[in-house]
Amino acid sequence: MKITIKRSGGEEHFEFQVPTADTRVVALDALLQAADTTMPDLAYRYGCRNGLCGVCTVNINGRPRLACRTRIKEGDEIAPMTVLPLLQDLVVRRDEVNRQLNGRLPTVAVTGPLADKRQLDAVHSLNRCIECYACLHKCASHAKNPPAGPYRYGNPYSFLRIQKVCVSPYASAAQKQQALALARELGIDDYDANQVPACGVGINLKTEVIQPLQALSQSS
Amino acid sequence: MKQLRYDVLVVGSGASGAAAAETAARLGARVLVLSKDPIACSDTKISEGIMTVCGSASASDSEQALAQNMRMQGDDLAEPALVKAFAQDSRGSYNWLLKQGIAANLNSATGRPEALSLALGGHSHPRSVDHHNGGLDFAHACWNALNSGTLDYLEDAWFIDLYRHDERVIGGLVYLAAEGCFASVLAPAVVLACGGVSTLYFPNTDTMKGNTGDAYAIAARAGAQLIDMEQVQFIPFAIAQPSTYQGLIVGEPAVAGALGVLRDAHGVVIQSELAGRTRAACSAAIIKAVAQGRGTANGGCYLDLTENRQGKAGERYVALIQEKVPGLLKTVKGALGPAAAKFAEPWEVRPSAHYLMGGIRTSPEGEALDTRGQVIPGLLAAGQAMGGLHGSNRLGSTSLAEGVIYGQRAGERAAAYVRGGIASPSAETLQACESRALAAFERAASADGQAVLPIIRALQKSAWQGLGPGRTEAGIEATLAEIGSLEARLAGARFALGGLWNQALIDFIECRNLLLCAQAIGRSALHRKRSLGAHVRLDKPALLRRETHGSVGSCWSTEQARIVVNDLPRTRSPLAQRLRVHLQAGLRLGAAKLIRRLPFSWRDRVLFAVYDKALGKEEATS
Repeated sequence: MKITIKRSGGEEHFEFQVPTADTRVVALDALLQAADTTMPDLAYRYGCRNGLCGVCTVNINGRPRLACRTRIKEGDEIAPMTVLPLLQDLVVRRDEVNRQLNGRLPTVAVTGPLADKRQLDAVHSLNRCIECYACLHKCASHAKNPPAGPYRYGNPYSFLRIQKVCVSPYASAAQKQQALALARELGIDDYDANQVPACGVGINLKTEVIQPLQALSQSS
Repeated sequence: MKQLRYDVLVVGSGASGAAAAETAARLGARVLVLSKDPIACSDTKISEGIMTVCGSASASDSEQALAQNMRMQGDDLAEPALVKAFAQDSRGSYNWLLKQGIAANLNSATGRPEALSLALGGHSHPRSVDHHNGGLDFAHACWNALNSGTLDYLEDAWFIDLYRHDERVIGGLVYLAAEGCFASVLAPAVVLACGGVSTLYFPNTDTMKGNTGDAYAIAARAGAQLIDMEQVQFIPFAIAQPSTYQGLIVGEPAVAGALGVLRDAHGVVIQSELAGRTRAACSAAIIKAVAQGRGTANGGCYLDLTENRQGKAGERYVALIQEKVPGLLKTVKGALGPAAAKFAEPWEVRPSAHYLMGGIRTSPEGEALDTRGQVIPGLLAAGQAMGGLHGSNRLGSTSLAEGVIYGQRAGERAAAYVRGGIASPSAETLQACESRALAAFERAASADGQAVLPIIRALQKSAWQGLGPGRTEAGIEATLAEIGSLEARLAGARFALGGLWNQALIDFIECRNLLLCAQAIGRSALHRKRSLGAHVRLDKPALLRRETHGSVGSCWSTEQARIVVNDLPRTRSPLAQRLRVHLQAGLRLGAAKLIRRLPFSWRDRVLFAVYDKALGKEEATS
């Protein structure tokens, strides 16, 4: 299987020897083999190989995908994410994304049992986020930031973290206000709800994050 | 060289690192957290998210019962003071998680977190608290702790070595990959919360790639004592093939239900009543069968859960597993197909490296000890980085509690230690420390690149053969010899030092640590001439069993430039207690056997009630 790996020095072609025992290979299989054979200093991130840690996101044929869970085929191109600053080969700098929120969100402590467990449903759904940052791809708001940071404008991920405070049954009115104020600062009111990028793990970022935050912002 | 100054440096951003950092910062210390991976993207995040909380599900549970379980199921090898502290703190550590906003399921009557109604293997009481999104819920809580604005952190940061002066720790050297430079972090207290060495066994591992034994190697090079390094936990039920999924966990013994069995390649049952057994016992059954030539072509056995699907109880069993551990079934489906994920086919499984029960020897406050048993001023360890808590078998769901409990303890101790104010080292002292730590890298610097990765791959292959779940004296010695030659190869490695995210340099840092840990595991394993722990000694078992009982200490000897090992005497539990535990285990096993042999309709009714209770509780409350 011939694939292309986009490295810092330029595109490199790689002839991936697909194991005969299993042909349902993923991008990470190819990267591991490339590092073991022709590209021993290939820089790429991965962690759990199990779709959980969220660090192995790369662009496959131009779209952000988890390398460890995305099947590849002849002719595919593996490249670094384009929406974060490149460090080396397939590795991008991720830390400015969280710095946008650092110290600016209240921690909502869990203080006791709930009358109705369904009050946590919204939190449970948002907690599926694995921080793969796929939702930064083609995000017009994030694109307004200087590439190297600091990031003044928000993205679906940062709004998701804010929304988690707003939907928490334990959050006080003041905590929700603080979260909402941050959402406004990061540009929630100007966010185009018809152009919300897709989530890497299937959270509906439009209806669970952007729209309810905008409604909250406009009603208060 | 860049210098950063803090009161407390925490290395690692999982549960133990987050708890240590948040605690120290709350107590007034200026804290820096270093993390190789993005913040909070740790083994905590990818875990099943099930945590031991004493007394969460059973009124008859007690700290004594929990402590006894841990000591007895770990072959009475654990350090009693560490186990006692763990048992005392498990509830308090859950309160810390609640303060960080963990998505908890609290019982409306008791206010306590809801636990699985079945006791996990080796636990006498149900006390394992599960979470809706598993480890992700813990990662989000850790994220909150680390992003509260009370502390600083740096990602893409490889902590390399400690600086010591006048016995005290004064900080250390770090490689900042995102800036492409080395830096000194000056801090009078350093908490190593970056445990784990499973990557030594890649691809036979289910943990994060960053598990390269950094904590143990860094501590040992600074004079700390390591304990029980040969005690690597191999989780029994992991994928053998295909390679994409190789090593990933697909089940705990508890997942096997009442009727799950292990079969060899010919279909012969090699172990039953799995649910009540420890991870070590299940691993041993597979390894022995494989060693006797009865394993599959991929060196595994079959976990056969098909009988669990029978009858009305079967529906409840399937629903229970789907509800409680959906992540495991997702892995099964991807690796072995949809029929296997519905329990219609047996799963080919093989043990996989999951946890290191050994580690840095510490006090119950998390202070690292040297070879004389004295505290090394300013050095602490927490979570998987520390050793001696689990003996030779870690009970399911104890690691998340261990991380928070000892993270809090280490954070508290570190904050207290720096509170009085500790004089900064002189410029000359610092310069001497820096040049010592940088020497290895300056030797390797060269314009001609030469990758380190092949050395790591050779080490991983040899470690799985000689230091894996099945061990022999000859095999361990062969791997130690290989380690020697790989050390020589690494010493000759040359690579350019510059550039952002220098992969060769990162591989060099990690390879050095992996080699030191492999040596510690190998020499400790050779020293303990008996079959004890999650691995099996396959040679001369009759002879081996007569050896004395104790822990194995190991440390780095600068003079001999190698790991040296010694005996650490250990207090055993009273005989009556040991006998009682064996009796209770026997009774539980007997009851499980009896249930299996009941006439079908009776058995179905009994099991239906068991599974229904486990499920029904959830439904009644949601």
